[in-house]
Amino acid sequence: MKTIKVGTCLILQAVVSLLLPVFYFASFSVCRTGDQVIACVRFDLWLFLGLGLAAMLALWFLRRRRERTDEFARRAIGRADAVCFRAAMVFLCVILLPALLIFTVLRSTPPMTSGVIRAGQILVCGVSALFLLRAALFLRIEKKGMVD
Amino acid sequence: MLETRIREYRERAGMKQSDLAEAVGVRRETVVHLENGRYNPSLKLAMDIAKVFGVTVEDLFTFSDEK
Repeated sequence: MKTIKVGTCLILQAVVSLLLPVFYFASFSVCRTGDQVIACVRFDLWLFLGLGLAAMLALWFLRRRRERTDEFARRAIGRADAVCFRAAMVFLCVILLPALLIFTVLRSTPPMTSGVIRAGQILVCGVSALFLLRAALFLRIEKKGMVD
Repeated sequence: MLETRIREYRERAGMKQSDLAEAVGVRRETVVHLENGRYNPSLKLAMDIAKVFGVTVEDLFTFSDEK
C-alpha cells in the first residue's frame, strides 16, 4: 500500500482545516441594516454535516495512509508545534484583542456581533493559518535538518 | 558538533539508505540527515544503527568541540 509522506500529510491536514473558515463564513456573517450592525446566522445543518463528514473522512484516510512517524518527524513536529504555540499567543494578543477593541469600542458595534462573529472569523482563519504554518515549518525542518 | 561515519559503514555493508532506514525503523529522510550530520539521533536510534553494523556507538559517532 502506497503511503503518504508526513510533510504531505500535514499539508493535507492544513487544507482540511480550511473547511472550518468555509463553514464559518457560510454560516455567520455581519449585516448592516441602515446604521445598525447585526449578526446574520444562516446555519445550514446539511452544510455542517457535509463538511464535518468530509473532514472526518479526509483525516481518517490520512491517518490510515500516513507513513510511519519516526523520531525525527516527531521531534520536527514538536518544534513546529512549539513555534505555532508562540505564534498563537502573539496572534491572540496582537491581532485578536486589538481587532475586537476596534470592532467594539471604535465602531460601536454590538458586543454580540463583534464578540461572536468577528472573533469567530478571526479565530477560524487563525486556526487554519496555524495549520499552514505548522506544515510549512515541518517542511523547512525536513529540508534543512535539525541540529541541537 | 556530532560527526558520523554512518555513510562509510553503510557503503561498506553494501546497503542503501532505504535498507538502513528499514532496518532501524525510521524514514529514509532521517538517514539522509544523520549521514549529513544534520540530526543528532536519540541514544536508542544510535545504538540500533550500531547494532546493524556490528560496531559500537563510539565507532559511529564522535563529538568534537565547535570553535
